[in-house]
Amino acid sequence: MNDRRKEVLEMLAAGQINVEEAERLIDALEKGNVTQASASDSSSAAKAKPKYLRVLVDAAGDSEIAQKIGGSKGGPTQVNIRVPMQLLRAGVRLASLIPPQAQVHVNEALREKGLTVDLSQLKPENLEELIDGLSDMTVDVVDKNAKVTMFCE
Amino acid sequence: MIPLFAVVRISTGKDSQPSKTRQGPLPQRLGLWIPLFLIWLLLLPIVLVLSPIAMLGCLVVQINPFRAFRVFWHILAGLTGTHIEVKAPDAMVLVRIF
Repeated sequence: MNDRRKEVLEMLAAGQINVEEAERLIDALEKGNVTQASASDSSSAAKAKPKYLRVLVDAAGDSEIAQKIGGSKGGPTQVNIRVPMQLLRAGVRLASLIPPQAQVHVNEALREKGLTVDLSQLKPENLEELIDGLSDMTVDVVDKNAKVTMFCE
Repeated sequence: MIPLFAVVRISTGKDSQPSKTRQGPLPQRLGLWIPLFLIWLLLLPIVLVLSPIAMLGCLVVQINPFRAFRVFWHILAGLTGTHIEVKAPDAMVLVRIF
């Protein structure tokens, strides 16, 4: 029992309000709780739907990442990428279009590169779960020469 | 909604990033506003002409052509909001799609 409800009952016991008034007050309190709960649910749902994946790379000029990007020695290289989540979802759907016989070859090629991903198991629902999980997460990779940050916004 | 515009900016040269003390050759800058909606309009007749061939191709590799079309449409629509920016000491590239 919450404090406000207790107060209403105490007012009823003290004769300050009648039974009908107490009932109305308790109903109003319950409605308020439901509204608060639904508001917090909707805000968390809105929060859990990020629109973009951001990748930020800040690499020193002589770092391996900067060399791969095409930077030159002598200054830092910065990369700022914003990928819409819709594009990632569409990419996963595209993977589902790959014919089964081709998927075997793609899986083998990925395994050779050290990525044990089965494309046949990759479904848009999995991506939704991943995105929901990523919404409050930031991935930071800090090296002596480079810093990579990934997050959803 | 499919993307309607794209902005491409490329700066090369020693001083591609803003600096008060400019030395060496002048930087070369290229800024393009690409009206993608015009490109889509130009491509539309070509797509309509080629669609039977694409459908046939999909059926040969046992893919639902309508599903394939939907996926490509989603990819096209998903490009809206893409932002790619690379800044190096001697070059800067910016691509924005919206």
